[in-house]
Amino acid sequence: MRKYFFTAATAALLTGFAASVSADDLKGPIPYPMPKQVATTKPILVPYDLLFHYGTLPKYFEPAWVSELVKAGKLPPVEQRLPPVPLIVDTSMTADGVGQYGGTLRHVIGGRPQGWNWIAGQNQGYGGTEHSTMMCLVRTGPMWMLTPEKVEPLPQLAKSWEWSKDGHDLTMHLIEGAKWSDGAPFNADDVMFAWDDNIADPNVPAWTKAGAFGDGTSLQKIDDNTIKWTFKDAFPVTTIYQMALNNFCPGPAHILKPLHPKYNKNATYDSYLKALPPDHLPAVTMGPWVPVAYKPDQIIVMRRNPYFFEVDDHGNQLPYLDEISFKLSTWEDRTIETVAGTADYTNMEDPNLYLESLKKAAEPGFPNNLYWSVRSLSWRVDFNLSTVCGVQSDADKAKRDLFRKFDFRRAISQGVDRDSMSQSLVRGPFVAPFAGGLHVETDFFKPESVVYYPYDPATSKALLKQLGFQPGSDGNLVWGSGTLKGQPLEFTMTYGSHPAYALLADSFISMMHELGIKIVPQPTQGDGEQDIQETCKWDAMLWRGDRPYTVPLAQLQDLAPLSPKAPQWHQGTADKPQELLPFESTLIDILNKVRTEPDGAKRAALLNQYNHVFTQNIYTVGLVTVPAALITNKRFKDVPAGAPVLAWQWSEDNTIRERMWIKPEDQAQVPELLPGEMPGVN
Amino acid sequence: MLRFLVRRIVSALGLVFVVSMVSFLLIKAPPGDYADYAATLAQSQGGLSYEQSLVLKQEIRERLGLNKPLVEQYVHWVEGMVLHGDFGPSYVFNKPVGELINDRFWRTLGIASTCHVLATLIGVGLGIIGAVYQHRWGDRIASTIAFLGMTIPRFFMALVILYWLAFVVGYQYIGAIYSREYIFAPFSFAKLWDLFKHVWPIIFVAAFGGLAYNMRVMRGNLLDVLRQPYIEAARAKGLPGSTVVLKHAVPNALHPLIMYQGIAMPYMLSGELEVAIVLGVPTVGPLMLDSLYRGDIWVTATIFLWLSVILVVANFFADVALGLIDPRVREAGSV
Repeated sequence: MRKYFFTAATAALLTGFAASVSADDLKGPIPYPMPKQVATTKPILVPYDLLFHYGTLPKYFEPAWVSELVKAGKLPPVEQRLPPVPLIVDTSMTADGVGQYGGTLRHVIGGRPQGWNWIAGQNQGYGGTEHSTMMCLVRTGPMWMLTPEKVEPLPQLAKSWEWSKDGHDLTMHLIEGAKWSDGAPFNADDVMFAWDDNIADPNVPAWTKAGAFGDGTSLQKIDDNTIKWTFKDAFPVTTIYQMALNNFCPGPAHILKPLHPKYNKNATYDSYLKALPPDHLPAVTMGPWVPVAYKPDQIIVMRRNPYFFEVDDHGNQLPYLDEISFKLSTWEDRTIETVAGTADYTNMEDPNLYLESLKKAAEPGFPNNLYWSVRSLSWRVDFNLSTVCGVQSDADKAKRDLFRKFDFRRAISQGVDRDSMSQSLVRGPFVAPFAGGLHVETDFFKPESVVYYPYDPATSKALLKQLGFQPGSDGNLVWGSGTLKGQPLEFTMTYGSHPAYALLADSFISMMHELGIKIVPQPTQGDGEQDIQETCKWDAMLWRGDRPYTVPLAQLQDLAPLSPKAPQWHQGTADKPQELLPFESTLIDILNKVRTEPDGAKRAALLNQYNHVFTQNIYTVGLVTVPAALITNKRFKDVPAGAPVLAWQWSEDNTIRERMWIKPEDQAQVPELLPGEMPGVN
Repeated sequence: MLRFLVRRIVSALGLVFVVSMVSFLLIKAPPGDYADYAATLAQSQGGLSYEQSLVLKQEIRERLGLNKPLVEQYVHWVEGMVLHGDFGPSYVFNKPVGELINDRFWRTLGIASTCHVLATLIGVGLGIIGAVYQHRWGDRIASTIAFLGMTIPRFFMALVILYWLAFVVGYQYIGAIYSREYIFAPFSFAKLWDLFKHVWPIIFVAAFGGLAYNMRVMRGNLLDVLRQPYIEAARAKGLPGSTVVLKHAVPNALHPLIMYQGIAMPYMLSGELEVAIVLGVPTVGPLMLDSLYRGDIWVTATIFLWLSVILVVANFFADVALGLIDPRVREAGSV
């Protein structure tokens, strides 16, 4: 009894003390200190209908050596290879104008190709391989260069689309008369094979699942050039974003159907998933280049696709570059080789390399152009907010209850010195404070949408005191009540193996130490953090945010509890949904409106509203945001300045590589590996 | 001798079995598997939502049997190896592991053998110089080289060389075994030279680390031999100094080094792996590390197994050699 009395007395004292911490003692929020853009070159923005459109031109052209093949009867004339109405790519609003044919682009990649059956989920090694071969219903990569009045997915295999009046049907008109790289016709059967026998087939681990297009969604063929989507919801406009790379990019049905177990009794799913291995060449694609040569662990070489369906606005069949190669090495080597001049193209997204690369760039004779783009990467700390997933003990429950308290998350957030953290990651103006939520240099972002809680350890300490934590004998805080009473305020933080994670984790841990909070680091290797995350058996997680926070329409599902397993820091289980925090219901409402809002300006306003609620409640603790840079060899013309390394897509799609070119006098600097080779011809 | 050989073979096989089991357990111990890797990629590259990625993970685990009990997975792997010579599939590369490793193994062995030969020849040479010129400049220089080789970690030396080549020199031949223009070219001396330009940093670092032991052993042995009465006798007979050293002393000082070769080869192999990982040269080393990161378990397990087999086989030959020249070892082994 005595014990309970003292407990109650202590609690009363603490409560009394807590009450003495007034709002005046707490600093912030303040206006978000919008960072200065690192990118120095202003991008050239192009109207939607000009950048890509389907149309006809009086005459079409091709490289001279291809004309020789036509003359020799090895290829049909260009007019017959192109569709009657090709996709016209603008060159009038580029820095260098119409391109010239020839030359080679040298990539380095860290991945290894699994094969060319991409519709069954095989990858081709990443780093631009997929962007060279896989053509999809729509294209999202170059959307970053559209003028603001219309920023929507661009046509690719689907040349146009329209919604029914009630918004439940979406009819798409496919490109007519286009051909695969082996000359076989492309039509709606390829699309239906992709949907029926791959995406919707549970035995095939395709890049996307039918569920990503909305529950109850169906697709049907109307005729050879028309397909119709039927949705349960009206106007699910963001679904169109799911039809871009790598999600809805049909493979050649005339090659793959005979290998699929549904159409071949001797085939199995295992054999189908392993079909078309990397040495099965030439691969059959709709893309600008076709894989023609491969040496394991050494190289993939792709040559121009004679049937590619794009032309420039002067009638030149694209691509301009005859060859593109992918050295199979490591991702680190990609930047090292490009900086050294033995490769041509890299996405520099590792902050550890920024200063060294900049030093090299300042030297005379540096072979590259370096284009900084917007801050499209960020790091944050997620606290596990779930009360139903991964709670194994009373201690877990106590910690989760704490994480769900706004004052706790605010105490953590205001204990983070983001300016110091930025400088410890990379000195200079690159890294900027990040409040969490959506990325700050997107086309829809408004700084006033951010509720920014500044660094102020005094506020953090006051809040922690208010929550009942007291300094222990060693100076660390201890729980003042509950099942963990008297125990140190301590939790684990899981993070990945990349050096930037370790550096940020060290900074964060030492800043929390200053507040009296002990964090037990839990570094993982490979994708171990994914495994831990899935089980919900974690306290805090250091995480890198990229695409969903730059282009939220691409992955809306990850941004709020729209399903039992999202977002990753607040998961439910199959039988127990999340216990929502009040503001989470608001976030869900906003995102549901975004999903079905056809007006781009209204969607942007809703996303800013979402960001306001997110940052006001410190849904996750943002740390820093960093830009990335595209580095390309100076030989290349029409590399669009300001192309983001990662937005809707990775830069390899964003730069429209089929439109990049090299002056004839510069082409000899790097000779083609397989000059004169044409897939399927020689 | 036959009983000795049988005993050594049986214990070698047992050791390989234990190594395979322990390495398999170690590979499976940390969190994360291939399904996590594939789902992460589908999220970052394909834009798959987190929830959909969880569905994908479960499908992958079921399809590949990654959700089966560990013992079942291990037994299935061993069964495939023993009965069909199948080391399992590589999930990442979508091809059989045997085929995958075979692509890189001979490259690795070739580079490691070169390192081994160079480390032995240079190490022995420096050892002779050190012994003949004891406490003089030749000895000091040779000892300094050996000291540096022994104390500087190979990965650190590789990192320094990588930085120097890539950022200071702007060296064009890193991260591969051939330049692009030679990959599809038929064999020629120009291609061989191109190969050398790519692999010399590995050979340099691995051989530098390996020569130290050879030098120290050779120096010590030779000093002992040079003090033997028969060497004094040879000198007293008026033989030239070089003849005394090279013909009479060196052959007698080489015995321990010959025995050492049995374990030096695996040491060289691991050195090659370590340096190749840092320099990104496509041999077995980077494959092993990547497979660990990506949860490509049968690749990792098979590489571990092969390395242990090489170690065991090399030691087996060293034991046999020792048994041949020393009857006491033979007798002890047959008890």
